[in-house]
Amino acid sequence: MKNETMIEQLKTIIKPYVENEEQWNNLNDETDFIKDLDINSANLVDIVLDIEDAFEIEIDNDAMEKMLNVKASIEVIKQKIAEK
Amino acid sequence: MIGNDIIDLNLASAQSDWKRKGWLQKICTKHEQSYVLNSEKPFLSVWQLWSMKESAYKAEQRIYQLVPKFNPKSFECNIVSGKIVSNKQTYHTRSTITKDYIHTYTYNSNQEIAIQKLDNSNTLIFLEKKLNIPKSRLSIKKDSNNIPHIYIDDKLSNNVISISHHGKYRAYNLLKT
Repeated sequence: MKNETMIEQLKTIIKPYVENEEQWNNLNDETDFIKDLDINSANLVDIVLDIEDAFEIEIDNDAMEKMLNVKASIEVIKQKIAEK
Repeated sequence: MIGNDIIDLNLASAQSDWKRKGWLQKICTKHEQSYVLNSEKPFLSVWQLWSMKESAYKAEQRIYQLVPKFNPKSFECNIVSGKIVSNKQTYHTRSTITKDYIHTYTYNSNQEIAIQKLDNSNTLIFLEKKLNIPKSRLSIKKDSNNIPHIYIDDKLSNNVISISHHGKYRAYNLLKT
């Protein structure tokens, strides 16, 4: 899967939890879920669960720890897909 | 050490479904999960645990200058005693639970706690009163780890503040030096 396709998919997943729509429209590699998109930290759990469902992967604690921005999340998804 | 977290319970019930499959397992240790599932008020237990974890996380991040992480399971909480243990440190917290919110803060002997409705809340006015310094001389800046610091006349102050905001509420935990 291409990076852009993955980012698009991730963008759709996080939309329901985003409080800052403008930043969401400009979402890129560097976008931070909490700092930029004002996502509530408790909703990060939902994002992780939604990612698990969408990509059919399992995300362990060590991987989840890093998933605070687009770049790190894409890296985790890629790694978990490769491990399948 | 300083960290606090407020949860607007109305918003929490709208924003998150703690009963969602896998949700509790992602944030709670086995011991905490069984506490919640055996609790008479599981909804309140879940959010008290969450506010405890957030308070300890914020305190730890400040002490050790850690980059942000999403590691709620690394903070093992005891709801009854308010004690939280991470692999670095033990934290003592106190929680206030009302029908509208849950607020948890790390306990220090010399500190100011305040909970305000967001529409009446202004951090600089709060600090002006508590520090007795005109607000024109005060500012709050976040560092690269997103931790707030108090500045007086553009100089970093030894007074330490933790700020939490959720829904209709904002809470402060201020340690004066």
